Amino acid sequence: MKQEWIPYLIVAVPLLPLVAAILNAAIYAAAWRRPSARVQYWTILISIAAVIFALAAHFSVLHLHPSLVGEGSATIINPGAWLTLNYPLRLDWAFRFDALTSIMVPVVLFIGLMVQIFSIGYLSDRRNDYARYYAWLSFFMFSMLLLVVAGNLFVFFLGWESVGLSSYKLISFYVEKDAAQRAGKKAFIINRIGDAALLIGMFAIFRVANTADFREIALAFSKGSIAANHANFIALMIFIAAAAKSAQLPLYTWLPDAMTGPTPVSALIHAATMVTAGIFLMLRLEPVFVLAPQASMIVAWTGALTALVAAFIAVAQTDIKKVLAFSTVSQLGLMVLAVGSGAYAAAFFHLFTHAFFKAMLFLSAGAVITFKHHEQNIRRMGGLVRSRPMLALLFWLALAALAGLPGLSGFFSKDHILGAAFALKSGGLVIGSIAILVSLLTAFYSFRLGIIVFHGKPSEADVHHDDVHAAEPSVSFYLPLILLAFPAVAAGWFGLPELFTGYESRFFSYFNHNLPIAPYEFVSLMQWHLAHHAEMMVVAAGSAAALIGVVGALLWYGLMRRRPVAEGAYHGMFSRLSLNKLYIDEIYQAVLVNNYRKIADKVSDMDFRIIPAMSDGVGHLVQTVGSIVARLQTGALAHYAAYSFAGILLLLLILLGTV
Amino acid sequence: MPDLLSIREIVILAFVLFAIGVLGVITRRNLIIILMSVEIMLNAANLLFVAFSRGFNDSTGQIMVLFVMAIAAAESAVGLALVIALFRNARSVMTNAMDKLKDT
Repeated sequence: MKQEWIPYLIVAVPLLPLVAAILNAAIYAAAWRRPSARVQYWTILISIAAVIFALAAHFSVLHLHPSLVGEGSATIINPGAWLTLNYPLRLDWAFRFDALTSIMVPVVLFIGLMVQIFSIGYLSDRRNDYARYYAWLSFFMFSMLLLVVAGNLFVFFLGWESVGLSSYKLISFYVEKDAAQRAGKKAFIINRIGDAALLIGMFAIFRVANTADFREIALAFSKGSIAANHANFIALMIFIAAAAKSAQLPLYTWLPDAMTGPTPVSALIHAATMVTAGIFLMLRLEPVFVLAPQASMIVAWTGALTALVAAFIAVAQTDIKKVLAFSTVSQLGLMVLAVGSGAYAAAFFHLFTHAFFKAMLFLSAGAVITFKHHEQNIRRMGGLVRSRPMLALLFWLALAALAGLPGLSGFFSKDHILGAAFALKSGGLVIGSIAILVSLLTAFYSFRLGIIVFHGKPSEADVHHDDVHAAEPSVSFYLPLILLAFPAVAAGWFGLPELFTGYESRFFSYFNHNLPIAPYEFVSLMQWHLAHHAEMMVVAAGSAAALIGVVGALLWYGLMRRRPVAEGAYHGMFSRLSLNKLYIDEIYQAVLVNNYRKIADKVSDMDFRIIPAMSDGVGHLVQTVGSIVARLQTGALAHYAAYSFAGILLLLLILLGTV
Repeated sequence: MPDLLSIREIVILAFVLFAIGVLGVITRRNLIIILMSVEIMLNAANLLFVAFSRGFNDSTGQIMVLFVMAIAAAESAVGLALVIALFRNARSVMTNAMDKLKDT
């Protein structure tokens, strides 16, 4: 093995899924009329092989790479210009392999592989669509990997847009469902807002730094020649882009609706490929954020509020996937809060651990939905632990990690964020308390979900359908779940807090030493240094909040056997607000969508009046002129003769006059 | 021998003849009369040729007149033949009868 192979291997990582996507698209185009089992095997084989080879390529790079720690350790590949415009605007095909990439790529590929294996069983009743599904799934992974290995903003933007496209295609995968089409469109349109902000941010960066290359951006921003208000503006634009992709407060509404897509796709979107892109963007442009304390405060507050609102909404949802969707929004809020408070490593660490247990949660929810014959309402579930103890165990494991029970991955990563939130100089106490409250609510709704789905009385449907186990997919369901269980439990141990071990953990030192600009100055600007006992207090408070949430759910839903009441029944004010998602969708509908429709109606009215008037007017004009001219044409020979003589006379007069 | 008429008077006469021809072509409907009017116009031109030939003492004009008369003879032969053909077709020599192509 030689070092010269590194660039090819790095480029191969995103290209392999792209090849799989193209091959599957070709298979779909060639064989969608005559689907056969052989074609379906090839589809799955190609997709899975592409991911495995990509993983192999990635680990070969890691093996060959001299070192990823320290200044200038990133590998930058620039095979040439994509487009050369007026100097200095040059669009290069640039790729970059650094610490951030080296962690993100295997997460994307591993989760993607698990999702692909799971989908074989989950979509076994729609085998004819395998090729279309796997084509878009592979394309989704290609887009995300392109975004991850991008070396400049333009390549990044290409990946970013492709992520939006493939998420749209996968959310509306069930072409016969109207709701799926609407949800796909909603996701796409809301992401447009972010895309516009990203473009503005990109061009603003280009304006002030004269480059789109990530390394040169870091250089330009570290020299201190960038005005603070410029940095703040750029950071804000980047944050709006990230908020649309990562489902933050004003723009999160697409994510719960995206649950109409196939459940494995939700797992992919929530864990690896879509919502993490926003966080990744902010981490990638860390040099901008460290110069923008005001914008960072906005980021932190938005994250905290999103986390709280989404956790509150998740408490009363009755759709198993909606609960998980809002929990994702809430966890993303925590990551954004960490980014805003300067704890970049903590944000990335939470992204890392969250990916595993959230993928696991969604995949096991997919298994539950399959076993319940496409039932998603948790009110009609219960007692599943008796027929599927293995699934129950795995689901509980992931739930406990989400709830942040001590020892599991969610606990450690959340602890870092709580610490950063409390340490904030302005509003640290409020934001920290919000984060504690979020932990409490998270533990509560996680355990509520687990208890209602797996315990209590089995629903009548189960009693009748329990004897059809044999036909259910088992390997393709349990293999990914078991493989995901290991990182879901243990991923947290890579980043044990300094508090427990006395030294900076491997994950954090690896990450912190490879940030483009060391954030220490910024962190000391934003955060107090927490004393040892204060940190202990934060850990204790976080654990206590999680435990209170767990105990509350156990008492209310376990011991007192409360069940969520029917949607139309009477609810108290709080549960009504939570059940109806704070009426935010309705408010958007009334304020934005309806008014927009009114304007659109007006405009289309103009279209239907002015443009026909214009085209008809031309016709009328021609007709009028024609009818006047037509009167000259009498049909009488004498008139024509008179005209021609008159013409000759006229010519004669003109000639005589001029000569 | 002094001229009976001056060039000026002959030009006026030619003009009057020409105008009569034009009016004939424009106003009359009988094809034969129209042909006659055309002949009158040609002869008005001939008159001018002769008059100026005399006035400038140049015989070119008189040669031209011979040409014009030859052509006029040919023209009236063809024209009258056409009139006869038309008359056989439409039983009339009036122009308002020739409306076969009119869209009514």
